[in-house]
Amino acid sequence: MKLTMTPVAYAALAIAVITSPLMAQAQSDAQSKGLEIAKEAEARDLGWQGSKSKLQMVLQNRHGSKTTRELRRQSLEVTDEKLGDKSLVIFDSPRDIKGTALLSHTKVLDPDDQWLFLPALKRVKRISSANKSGPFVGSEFAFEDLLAQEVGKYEYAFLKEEKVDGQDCFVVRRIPRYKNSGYKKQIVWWDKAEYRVQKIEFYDRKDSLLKTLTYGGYKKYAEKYWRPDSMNMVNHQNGKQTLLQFQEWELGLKLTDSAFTPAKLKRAR
Amino acid sequence: MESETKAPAVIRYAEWVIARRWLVFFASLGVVALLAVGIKDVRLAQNYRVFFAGENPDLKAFDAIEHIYTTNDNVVFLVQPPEGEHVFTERTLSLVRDLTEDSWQIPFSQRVDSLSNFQHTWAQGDDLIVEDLVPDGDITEAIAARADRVSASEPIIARRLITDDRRTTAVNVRVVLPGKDSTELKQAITHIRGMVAEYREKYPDHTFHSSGVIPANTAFAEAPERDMPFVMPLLFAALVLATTILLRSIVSTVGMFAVIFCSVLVTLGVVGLLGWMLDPASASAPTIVLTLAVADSIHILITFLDQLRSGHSRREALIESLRLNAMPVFLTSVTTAIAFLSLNLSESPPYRLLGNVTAGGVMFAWAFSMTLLPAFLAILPASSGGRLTLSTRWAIATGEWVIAHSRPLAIVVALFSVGLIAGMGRLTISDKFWQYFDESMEFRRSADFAVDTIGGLFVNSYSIDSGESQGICDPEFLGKLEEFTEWLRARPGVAHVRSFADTMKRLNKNMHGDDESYYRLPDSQELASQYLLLYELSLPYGLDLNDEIDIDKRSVRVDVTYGNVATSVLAVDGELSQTWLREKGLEVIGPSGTALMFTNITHRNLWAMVIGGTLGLSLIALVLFLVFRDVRLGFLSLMPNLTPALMAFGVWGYVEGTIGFAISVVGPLSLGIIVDDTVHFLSKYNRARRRGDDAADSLRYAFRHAGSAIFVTTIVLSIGFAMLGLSVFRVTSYMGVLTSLTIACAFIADFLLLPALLLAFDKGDRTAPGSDVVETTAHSAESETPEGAVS
Repeated sequence: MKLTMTPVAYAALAIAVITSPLMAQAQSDAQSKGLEIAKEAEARDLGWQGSKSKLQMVLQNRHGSKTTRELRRQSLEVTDEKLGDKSLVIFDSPRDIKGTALLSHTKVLDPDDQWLFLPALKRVKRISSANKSGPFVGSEFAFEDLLAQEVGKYEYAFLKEEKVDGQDCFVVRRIPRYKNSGYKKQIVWWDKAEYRVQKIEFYDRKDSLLKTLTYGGYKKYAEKYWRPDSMNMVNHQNGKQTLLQFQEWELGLKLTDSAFTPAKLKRAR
Repeated sequence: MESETKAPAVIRYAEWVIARRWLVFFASLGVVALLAVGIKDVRLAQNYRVFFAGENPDLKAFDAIEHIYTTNDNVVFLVQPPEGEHVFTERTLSLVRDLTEDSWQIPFSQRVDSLSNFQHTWAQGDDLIVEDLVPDGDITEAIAARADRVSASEPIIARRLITDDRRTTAVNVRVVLPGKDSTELKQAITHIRGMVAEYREKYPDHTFHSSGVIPANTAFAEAPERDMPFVMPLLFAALVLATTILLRSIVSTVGMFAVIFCSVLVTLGVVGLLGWMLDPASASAPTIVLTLAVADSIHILITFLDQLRSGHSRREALIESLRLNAMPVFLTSVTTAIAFLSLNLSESPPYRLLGNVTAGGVMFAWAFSMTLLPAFLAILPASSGGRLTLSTRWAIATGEWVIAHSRPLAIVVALFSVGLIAGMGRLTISDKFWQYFDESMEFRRSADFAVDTIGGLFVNSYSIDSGESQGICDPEFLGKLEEFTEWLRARPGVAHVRSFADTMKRLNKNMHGDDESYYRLPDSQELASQYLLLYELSLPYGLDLNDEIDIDKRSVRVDVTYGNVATSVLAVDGELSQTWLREKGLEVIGPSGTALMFTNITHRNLWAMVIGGTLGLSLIALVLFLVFRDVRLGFLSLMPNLTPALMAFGVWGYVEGTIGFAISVVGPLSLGIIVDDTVHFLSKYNRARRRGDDAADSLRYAFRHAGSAIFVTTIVLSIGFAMLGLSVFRVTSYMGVLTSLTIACAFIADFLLLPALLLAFDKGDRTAPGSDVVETTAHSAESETPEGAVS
């Protein structure tokens, strides 16, 4: 019952002993490179202050039948590292929900603050929920997919470089730090030229590919900030998809903080 | 006399086989080797849906609902704390919470619903609070008490996730296999079984079960895997024993086994080469082929051994046996194949497959009986032991006895048969799909546990169309939906109704500071739509409303769960519900559900059996008429073919009482087998009659020359089909036992009833007018075996 080791096993052990610090080193290199890329992407998008956009949301089930929603969105840049941006979404169609407005004060690691104005009830309701990953109005987007991706939300690891649609990209894995996130990890493709997100893959809690988001038609606004014309989210598990089509983008707007308070929500039009 | 060569082709063939025995032998084995390679490609079906054809209206409704919403495939974990405890203890709730969390790790899982992650909503002023019913952190008494209170009053949970006695709770996991490779089911079930084992170890005083579609599909896939290595060897052993005793010739037994072994190999090989998928029903085909192949060989072997005993050389005996048996063996193979092909009328594809595979196998068996068997017998020296086989002596004695006591026998047998057939009145039709499996199967035990506790196996689903986009928030539609929900809840047997109307009422209450008087539907479409928007915004990953609302917000799905009711309730309630909804001007898809599908297909298959049986019987009557050229004989022959199946069902009524899917297969299937006895018996009888013997002497002749083989095949076939009774798949085991019974009853009918009928009705001289009629029949050329030579 004596444990014997073959020369091959010794060699393997030796290699393991020598390489494990190297591998740990490689790992931390990958982490810092990933973080750097995310930081650079964030840095290049700093200073847009306020934005307005108008968009159409096209929901499609796996048999191709479609339904459309129209909404407008205003965002206010918040630079505090622990806080995310403030966002106001106003629904224009379908008719039944016209005028409904959703205000969110997003947090990086805590549940967001959310208020909803219901015109039919003429009241503002605060929603207290730890959930960020549920489907946004029945679409394949979670609310967290639509928000600005603050660096502090994730842990990063650079994976490789790869071409997407002819553009050289960094491929970075990021793992959500928010406990109630619906995702185990995301893989992000940032183009090397402008650090714009080109594609994101979302993996569910059991680490299976859940959705792929692709960005299309980036244009520059306010001479500096790149925004897409479309974002298409495909759910691989249920075969559904949702296309966001932006009709208007305005950036660099001077929006007041008071426009993003629950008290003003009733008058948001 | 017809002793001159009447079938030179057969004789020339026999002589050729003997001369080229090595060539025939190796060519046969070569064909076997060539086709048997397909066996490695034989696949097993992994979904209960194979039981339904594409055009099945219930499957269409089922698919339509799954198309609009989500797939129903799931696994349900059932958890029961130890005796005397309810679910709402710290320990059990934390178990449920862990189980819920772990369930997200099941491969291909998409959604988990349990007591712990139920999204509890309540109001605090103008705040709407949404959280897990059992949130993270310590489970305090207050949390446990809240969970208890909410789950008793919340119509979405009560009786769906928790029983009334609070003793059993369910964790429902939607698991949707992408269908990209054949290991998916295995991956999912392996993980599920691992979880159950782990929790059983961690909580030894709790009871755990896993039910639902994934375990059910696993049972369907595993039943043949369980049966094949078990039933087949036993059957082989039983057949070896029986034939060795009955034939008393080792060489003959070995030859016969070469034939049946090759027949089964080739049958399975061809199934694999054609890419057909076997399922628990069609997986019994090889066993049936194996059994039927014995029958073909027996006739050839018994004549061969008889001839040897009469002092003929091996060569003469072989030629004679082929000459006598080539035609009847071919005919009986064809009638058997026809009967099996009539299973194509079944509503259920596995039975069509069973019919086609067996029909093919029967013809392979025929081919090997005519090639491999004679070549084998020509190669190896066989001895006859010098005495008549046990069965032949027995058959002769029985014949004498039957002829001597034909009248009292006929009366006794007739009364006996009527008595047996009366037992059919005791039969009840069981069509509960989980009862397709016996208690040795994990799924059956889990399903039984579910039936005794939380139910969930009887679900009727409906998709109700509001008629327009966003229409589900229309107060008028919601009003009708609520009314329908309440109407359903008042119906006997209904345990749970999942309805979107309840969600709306709860939200309206929450939006009005949890004021109970607002537990009613919102009164405007805008309000309802905006509540829905709010609610959807608050739901976590995986717990969306996609499984009860379509993306256009036009249709809602209503699931009605029944307690342990008679399956007929599902169909009756389904029709009443349709009528109710249509009277209110609502379009509906459904009812649909697994239990309902199986119930309906059982009943539809009953019709298929009646039609298949009638068709089979007519075809066989036609064949008999063509063989005998005698209407009276053809008509008399129907009697012993019609009654045995009825007698067997009667016996089943007394002994077992319930019958399901199997009933629809036994009739056509057994018909094809038992008619063989009649063909062999009547052909011998007819031969004697035509050469001028009276009925009694012709009967003696028939008993002497066919009785032995009929006796042996009856025993062999009865054993063979009885072995199917060991299957863990109840449909197959019932079918096997019933067919076995039918064959035994057919033996009684052929040996005891038919002779009396012939003695009573077949009087007068039937000497053949000319030899031309006789010579076209199968047995015209029967040689004059010197009867005295056997002693």
